[in-house]
Amino acid sequence: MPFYKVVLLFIGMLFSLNSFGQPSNEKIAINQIFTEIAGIGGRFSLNYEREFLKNNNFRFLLRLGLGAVHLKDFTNTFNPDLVIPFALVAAYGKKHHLEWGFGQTFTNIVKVDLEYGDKQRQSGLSTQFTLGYRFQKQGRGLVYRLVYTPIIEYNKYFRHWAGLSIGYAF
Amino acid sequence: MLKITTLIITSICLLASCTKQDFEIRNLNGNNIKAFGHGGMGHDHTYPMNSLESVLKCLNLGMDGTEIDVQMTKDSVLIAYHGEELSYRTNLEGLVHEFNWSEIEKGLYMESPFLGYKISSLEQMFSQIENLNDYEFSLDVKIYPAADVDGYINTYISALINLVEKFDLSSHVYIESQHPEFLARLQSQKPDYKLFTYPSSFETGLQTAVEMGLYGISIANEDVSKEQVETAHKQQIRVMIWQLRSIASNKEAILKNPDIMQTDKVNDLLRLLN
Repeated sequence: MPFYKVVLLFIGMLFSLNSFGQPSNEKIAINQIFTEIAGIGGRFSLNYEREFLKNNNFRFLLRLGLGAVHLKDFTNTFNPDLVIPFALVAAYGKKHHLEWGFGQTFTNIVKVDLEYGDKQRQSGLSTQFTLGYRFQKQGRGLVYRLVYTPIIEYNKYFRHWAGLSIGYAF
Repeated sequence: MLKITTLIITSICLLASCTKQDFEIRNLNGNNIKAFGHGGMGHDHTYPMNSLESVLKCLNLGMDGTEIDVQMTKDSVLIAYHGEELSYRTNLEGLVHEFNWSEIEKGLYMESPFLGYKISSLEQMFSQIENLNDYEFSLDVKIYPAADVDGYINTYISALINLVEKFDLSSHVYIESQHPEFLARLQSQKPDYKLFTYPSSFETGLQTAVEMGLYGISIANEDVSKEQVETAHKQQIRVMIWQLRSIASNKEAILKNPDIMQTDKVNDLLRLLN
């Protein structure tokens, strides 16, 4: 199944979760799962975020994601590219948050070895930053994000980039 | 309940895909359409157009061949690249013919974050394709002339002939060009090569193809009708159709009975034809 279909089904599941959720959101939610289109995971990523510190209206979170551009490589064999974003994120606000953060994205991409004509996996680290808007209530519920995420690819090439997320806090 | 039903229906729609359809094809290729990728997997794929990865993916999916855009570097190396400006898709800036191959081979496609595939020379590309003679290639010769147009074209033709002969590909390549002078000079040296004119309109293309005795016309889907394809076929001129960026345009083009289709939607065309 193409990766974008997995992401769309995941989004559908999130909406279902919300419809089954309790109307009261008294319990503080410290975990989030969300899908991000573009952003620090490249094109699509599934992410888990955990709040490790809260101080008044400040939240501090650690984020770990998993993205895959191709699940099958150019020989049409299952051999996914790996994109693993890791970030430290801060958010300020009660429901409407200003969010900022930074981190690294580890990539492991299948390419052609032009010398020997075989497949080779190329690994790299890229620095990424986040600045944007997050909608998140204190308790359980949907989380939305719209963020500017510039990336310094392989710590060499600067790229303007942005991400759009929808997720669920629990 | 409504949300769950909607979710299920949406999922089914997403998972459902276009399937093989029966088409009654009539063309000069034994009533079969040759299915080619456009620069490999096409314009919008995550493998950049004309990258080796894109071409290999296309061939490994079962296509008959692929179109490849060809340009020549300052030191006469033929490379696979689409646009005039390198900055259009890569981390380099300038025109292909302003650089030597040693400079261009350091460049990376930068269309998607983190991917950074390399620009490939045609020699590298053909060296890396297993069972090369099982496939066909349409080489779309891009000419963005330098100061000495005459010398540039002659050098281009020599480089192209050397490449085709080196890989014994003369019966497996089609050569497309918008430049009649290029086609005429190439034809005078290699009359057995299968040459396609790449015209601004069907009428001028047909006239050029008939007058020069070319193998065919390469034309955008929107610029040709079923009747025009039939007219070309009556004069033994093949028609190669491109600008096929959707399932609908793939279907529309099949109904015109072309001899070759260059699609940007490789998987969809395979499902329709196989």
